[in-house]
Amino acid sequence: MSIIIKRSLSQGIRKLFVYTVLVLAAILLLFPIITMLCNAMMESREVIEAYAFLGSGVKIEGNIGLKLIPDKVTLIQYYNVLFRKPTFLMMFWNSVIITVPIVVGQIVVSVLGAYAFAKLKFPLREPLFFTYIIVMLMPFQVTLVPNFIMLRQLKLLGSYAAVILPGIFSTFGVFLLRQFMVQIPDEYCEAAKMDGAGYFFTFFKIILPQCKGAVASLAILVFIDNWNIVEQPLIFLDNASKYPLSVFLSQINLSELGVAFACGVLFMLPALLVFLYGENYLVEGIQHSGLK
Amino acid sequence: MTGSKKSIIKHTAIVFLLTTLLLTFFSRTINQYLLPEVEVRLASRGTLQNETKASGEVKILHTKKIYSPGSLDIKEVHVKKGDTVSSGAILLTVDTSQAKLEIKSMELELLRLRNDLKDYEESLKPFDAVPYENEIALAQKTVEREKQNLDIIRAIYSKDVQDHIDAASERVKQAKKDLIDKEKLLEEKKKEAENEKEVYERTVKEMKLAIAIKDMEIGQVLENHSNLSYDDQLILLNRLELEYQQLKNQLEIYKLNYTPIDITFYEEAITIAKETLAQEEENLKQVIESYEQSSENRLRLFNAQCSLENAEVALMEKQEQLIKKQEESLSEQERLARNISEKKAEIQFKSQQLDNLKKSIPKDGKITAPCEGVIRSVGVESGQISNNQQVLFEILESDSTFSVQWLMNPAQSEHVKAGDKVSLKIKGESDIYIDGLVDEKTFSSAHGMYLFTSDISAQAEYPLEEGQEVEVTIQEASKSYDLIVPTRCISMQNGMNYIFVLRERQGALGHEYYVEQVNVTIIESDVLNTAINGYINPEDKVVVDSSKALFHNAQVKLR
Repeated sequence: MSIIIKRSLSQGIRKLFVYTVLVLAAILLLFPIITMLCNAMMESREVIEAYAFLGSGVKIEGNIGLKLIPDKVTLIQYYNVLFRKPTFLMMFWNSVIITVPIVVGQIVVSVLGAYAFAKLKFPLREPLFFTYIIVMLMPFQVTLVPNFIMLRQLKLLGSYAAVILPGIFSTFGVFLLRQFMVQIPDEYCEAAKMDGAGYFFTFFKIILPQCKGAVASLAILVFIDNWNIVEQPLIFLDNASKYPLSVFLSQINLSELGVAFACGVLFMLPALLVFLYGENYLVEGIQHSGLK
Repeated sequence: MTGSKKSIIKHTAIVFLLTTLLLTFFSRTINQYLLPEVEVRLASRGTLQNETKASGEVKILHTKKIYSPGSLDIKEVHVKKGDTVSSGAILLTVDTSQAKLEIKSMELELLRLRNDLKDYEESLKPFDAVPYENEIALAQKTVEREKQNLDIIRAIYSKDVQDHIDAASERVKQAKKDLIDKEKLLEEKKKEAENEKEVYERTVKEMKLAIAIKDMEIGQVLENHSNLSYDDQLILLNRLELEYQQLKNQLEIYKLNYTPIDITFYEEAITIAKETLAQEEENLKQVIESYEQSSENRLRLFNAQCSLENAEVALMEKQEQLIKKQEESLSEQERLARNISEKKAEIQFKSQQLDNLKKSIPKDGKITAPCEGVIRSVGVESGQISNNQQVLFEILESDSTFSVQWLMNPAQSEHVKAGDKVSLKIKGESDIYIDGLVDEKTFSSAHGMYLFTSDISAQAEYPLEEGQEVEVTIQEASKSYDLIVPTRCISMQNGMNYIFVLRERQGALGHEYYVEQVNVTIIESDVLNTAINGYINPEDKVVVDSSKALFHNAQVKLR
C-alpha cells in the first residue's frame, strides 16, 4: 500500500514540476503577444512615452521596463489603422494577393510531385528526391541570387509573380506530402490499376481523398510561412505599393509605435484564424508525414 | 474540433474579410476627408524688400506770416485767401482813435507814478539818535550819584555795629572750631583704648594656652615616660612644674599691670566746649538784635537803596527806548526803499507798455504786404479786434516750395540715405499718394533722431496744407539670396526654425504627397518673405498653410 502511495506521490510531484515548467514556458512564449495586445489598447502618446528609449540611441543597461497596463484603454489605434492608414488595408490585400496563389499553387504542384515520388516508378527517382531534400535544406539566401537572375531574365521582377512563382515551387510541400503518401499502401493503387484506372484517376479518386489532412496541414503551414514573407518582396518588388503587410510592419517608424501594435494584432488575426480552423489537420498531417 | 468552433472561426474570418474589403473600398474616400489640405509656394532666389515706415508732416518753405503788433480794432480787411498781392499793398485798415486815447491815459498814469516816487524818496531820511543818547547820559549820572550817597550812609551809620557783629561772629567761629577739635581727639582716644584692650585680651589668651600646654606636658611625663629613670623623670617633672609656675606668675603680673585708657577727661572737655559755643552764639544774637533795633539808621539806608534802584530803572528805560526807536526807524526805511523800487519798476513797465502801444499803431492806420505773393490765410475779419501777436495774414511767397519732413531713430535710419525712394501718403479728406526721394538727412540733436526731408515742390498742384500728416514708406532692396520663402511657412519648435517641404512618393494608394520637416536658419526677413539657409532646393515647394497640424512624413493633399 505504501509503495502505491509513494509512487502516486512521486508521479504527482513529477507532474507538478512538468506543468510548472510548461506554464512558465507558455507565459514566456505568449509574453510578446500579451505585450502587443495590451499596448495596442494604449494611446500613441502613452506608447511613445513608454518606449521612447527605442529611438533615443542611448545604450540601455539593465532590464527594460515593458508597460502592460494602459493608463486609459482605447481602441484609437485600431481606428487609426483601419480609417486613417489606407496603406495598411492596401498592403493587407497585397498579402492576400501574394499568399493565396502561393498556397493554391504550391498545393497543386506539391500534390502531383509527391504522388510521382511516392507512387510512380521512373528512373532517377530517388536521386531526384534527394536533390529536392537538399534544396529544401538550403536556406532562402542561397537561392536568392539565382532566383533574382532568373526572374530578371523572365522580366518578372517588380511584379507579384516574382514573389508568387518561387513560392509555388517550394520543395517543402512535395517532401511533406510524399512522406504522407508513402504510408498509403500500394495495394490500393494496384487494385485500381487492375480495375482499369489510370494514373490520374487513381490519384484523384484513391490517393488524394486520403491526403486531405496532409494537404490541409500543408496549406496552413504555407499560408503562415508566406503571410510573414519579408525578404522576397523587398528584393523582387521595386514598387512600395506592392509590398505585403509584413513589410509594412517592419517599416513603421518610432512616431507610429502605437499604430504598430494595433497593426501587429490585425496582421496576426488571419494567420491565427487559419491555424485555429485547420488545427486538427495540421496535427494529423504532421503526424502521418513523419515530420513529428 | 467541434463544428460550432469551426463555424465561429469561419464567421469571424468572413466578417474580417468583408470589413477589410469594405474599408479598402472606401479607403480613398476616407483618406480624402482625413488628409490635411496644404497650400504650397515655390522657394525662390531673389531679394527682400525692406520697408521702413515713419510718420511725418508737410512743411511749407518760404512763407511770410504777418502778426498783429498789438490789440488792433480792424476797420476793414482789403484782401482774401488766394489773392495775389504785391509788396506794399494795403492788407487792412485799423481804427486808431481808441488806441490814441489809451496812450493819453497811460501817460497820465505814468506821471502819477513818478510823483509818488518823488514823495517816497523825500521821506527816506536816516534816524536821529542824539536826543535819546543825551537822556541816557543824564540817567547814568543820576545812578552814579545815588550809588555814592548809599555808600556814604553805609560808612557813617553802621561801622561800630558791624565791628561788634564781626567780633562776635569771630568768637562763635572759634568756639565751633574748638568743639570740633575736641570731638576729634575723643574719637582718637576711643580707638586707642579699643586697640589696647584687644591686645590685652589676645595676650592673656596666649598665656592661658601656654599654661594649659605645660599642664598637659606634666601629665604626659607622669603617665608615659617609663623609659627614663626615676631620677630623670623627677628632674623633668620639676623643671616643667617650674615653667608652669613661671607662666602663671607672668599672667598674673600682666593682668595687674594692665590699665585701660580713661576717656572721661576728654568727654568733660567737649561738654565745656559746647557750653562755650552756646554762650558765644547767644552773644552774637544779642549784638545783631541791638543793631536791628536802631530804626532810623535802617530807614535812611533803605531810602538810599530805593533811590539807587529808581535811578537804575530810569536808565534802563531810556536805553530800551533808544533801541526801539532805532528798530522802528530801520523798518520804516526798508518799507520806503521797497516802495521806491516798486514804483521805479512800475514806471519802467508802463513806459515800455506806452512805447509798445505807440509802436503797435500802424502808420496811417494801415498794414501793408511785406513781399509779393499769394495770401494763404487771413486770420481776422472787418470789425474784429485782434490779439497781440495774432497771425493776421500768411503770404506764400512767389518762390515757395513744399516738403515732407519726418524723424527716425538712428537704428531705423541706418540704411536710409539721401536718394532712396519713398512713398508718401498725405492724409486728408482724400489721401494723396506721391512717390519721391529722400533729399536730405540731418541729425537733429534736439530730438536725438535723424530728420529727413523730401522735397515735393514738383507736386505743388496738390492742395497741401502745412502740418498735414504724412505716412512715409521707405523701400530698400536687400542683397540677393538663394532661398527665399514666405515668412508664414516658418515655424519654431524647441528654439529651432523649420519648414515643411512638399515631397512626392509612391504609396499604397499610388502617387501621394507628404511633407518633410526641414530645419532652417533665418538670415533676414521682410514683411512677407524670409531668406533662409537649409537643406532645400530653390525649386522645392514649401507649405505655407495647412488645414490640420502637420508632422514629419505626414501624408497631405494639395489645396
